[in-house]
Amino acid sequence: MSSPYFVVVCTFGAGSSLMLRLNVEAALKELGCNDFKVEVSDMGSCKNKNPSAYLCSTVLLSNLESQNPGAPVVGIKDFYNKQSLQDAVKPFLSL
Amino acid sequence: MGDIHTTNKLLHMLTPETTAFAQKVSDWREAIRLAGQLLLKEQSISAEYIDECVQVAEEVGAYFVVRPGVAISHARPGENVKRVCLSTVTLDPPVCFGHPDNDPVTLLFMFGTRDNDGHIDLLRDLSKVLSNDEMVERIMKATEFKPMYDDLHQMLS
Repeated sequence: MSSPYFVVVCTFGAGSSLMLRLNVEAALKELGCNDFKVEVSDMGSCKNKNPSAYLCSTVLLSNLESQNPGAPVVGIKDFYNKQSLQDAVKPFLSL
Repeated sequence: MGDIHTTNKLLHMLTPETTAFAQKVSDWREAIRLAGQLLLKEQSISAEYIDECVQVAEEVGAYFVVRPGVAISHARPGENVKRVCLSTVTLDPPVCFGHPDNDPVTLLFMFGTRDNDGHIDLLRDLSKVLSNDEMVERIMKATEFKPMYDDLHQMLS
């Protein structure tokens, strides 16, 4: 069983992605997952990281998808909605 | 007043000088410029930083509207920032930033940082506040600095 690995992306990797990362980590723990890796990246250097999924604001979704063709990318509307954060990461947790 | 005894970064940076309530602006650009002026006045940033914040939003979009009604504006960390800083502006009426779900924005923060980690404690504290729906609501409705500061102090201490 491999631990899930998420890359959270925003424009500079310095603001909203840091905040989203905190909430994604909290959501993973709420789901009982304690073995995971969540890292932050800026749009320019997020390629070829091969994560379980990329996460970003819905506004950046198409941009991030075009940077990473074929990779799983999930857009988040409200960074503080616990339920939707859990729903976003759940499909990538191995059971 | 930034409480000099607190180790909490957010409380330390919240000052009456960098906070403005119930501001009436014509659009999101003006809102960002207003938040920027508060930081420019205390010489925490250069004027270019404000232009950059507007430019990022124009080019990339309103991805920094992180939850309904709340935006966190910033630009690339670097030389245009003198020190880690934060301004807080509430908008009345609320203003659309162009986010498909989280518009309109009532609460706008602007932060600046010189590097990629000097502000992490600040964002952690800010994120704690933004996780609390009731506190977000109270800040949105605040009209005076002291009661808002005391509320946050109580929550974060």
